[in-house]
Amino acid sequence: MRCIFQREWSVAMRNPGQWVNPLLFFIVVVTLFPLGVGPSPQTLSTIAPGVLWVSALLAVLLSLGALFDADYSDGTLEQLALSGQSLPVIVLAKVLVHWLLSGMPLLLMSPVLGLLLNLPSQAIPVLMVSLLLGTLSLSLIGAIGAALTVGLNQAGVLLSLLVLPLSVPVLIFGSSAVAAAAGDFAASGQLLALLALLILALSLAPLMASLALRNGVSGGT
Amino acid sequence: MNELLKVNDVTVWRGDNLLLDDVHFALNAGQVLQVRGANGSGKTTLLRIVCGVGFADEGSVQWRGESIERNRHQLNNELLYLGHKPGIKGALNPIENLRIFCALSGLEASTKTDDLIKNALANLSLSDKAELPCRFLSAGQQRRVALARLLLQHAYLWVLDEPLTSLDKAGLAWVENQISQHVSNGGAVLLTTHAPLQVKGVTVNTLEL
Repeated sequence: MRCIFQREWSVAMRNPGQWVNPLLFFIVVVTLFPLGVGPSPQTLSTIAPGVLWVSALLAVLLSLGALFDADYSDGTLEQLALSGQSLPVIVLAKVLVHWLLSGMPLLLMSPVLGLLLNLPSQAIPVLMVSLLLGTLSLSLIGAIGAALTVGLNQAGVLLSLLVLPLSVPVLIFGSSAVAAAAGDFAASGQLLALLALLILALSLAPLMASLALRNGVSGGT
Repeated sequence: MNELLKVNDVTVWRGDNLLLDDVHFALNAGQVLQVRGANGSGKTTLLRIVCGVGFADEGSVQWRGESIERNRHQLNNELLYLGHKPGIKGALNPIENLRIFCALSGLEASTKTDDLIKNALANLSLSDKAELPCRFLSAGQQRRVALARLLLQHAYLWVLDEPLTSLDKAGLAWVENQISQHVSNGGAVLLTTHAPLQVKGVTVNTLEL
């Protein structure tokens, strides 16, 4: 597992586009909102939780396509599936690297963008915690979708169709946690719900993704 | 018991076309089987089924007397599959690429493993390319990197799909030599190639598709 982790890390480091793109997308979408809806601080702080969360969701989704496709096309995936090592563990390592390079930068960037949207400062920690739990779940859920669509050309739309319904609960709890904190309410309920979703995703997603990958690998010629 | 691999009446349909029709063979320790056939005759499909990455519509594959679905773990540990697509990452250099294969076959990542990898690369005259990302290597050199796995992973069954593609004469001789050593050590080799194969001291059985 450590070796897979290291390899994924060095591959990703040598393809900077893989982790710069989602971050750039996140920043661009969020900064365009004040230009689109007007700079009134009240409006901005009302829409901030939703805007931040929807942009984060789309940014993660954007980066999912690359999760298994490169491995599929160069034959690595076959070798992983045939190795004596456990495929779910390998999938988990890949997802963690994916999260470190797509979810983590979003998380680190979010306080700045929160301030840009006039999000009350007491909501910033909640925003970060909700993104931490939420983007991890999204990466895990997305891995199932990416594994199901592996080997299909132009799978982008199909991937979104598969993953979006599953990620709606994360979006709802995430943005409502931030909205609650912005309105000076307790957000612990929503955060605990996010944690529950994360634990569910963590226990099921690697298994389901590896089943889907085995199926995807055997479909090719 | 020295019967390693047994393929029983494997049949595969691709749409309305019968691709593989009741293919059956057995492979014992110390044997080499070359699968031959025209392009599109199902050689790769057959090899993938043997490894368990492809599925047959009918028939079964047995490894050490048990079907590979039930015996998958053991087969995976004793199999080295070198496919059409060699599984080499262009962004990584040969050493990094081979480290993964070593880790996957259970070798600990250590300086000892790294030395083994360097020796294997030297054996394939790739020492001076060891630090270069694989996308800068030629097709033949990339094939050599993939073939270095033959020296690193200890497996009974080698399944090699067109291992000689884009190799030069020296590379061909190297592969023949490795196969002959592997077989004399009690291993078995199943391969496809269009090149005539001369393995010292071993008769190469052929299967026509």
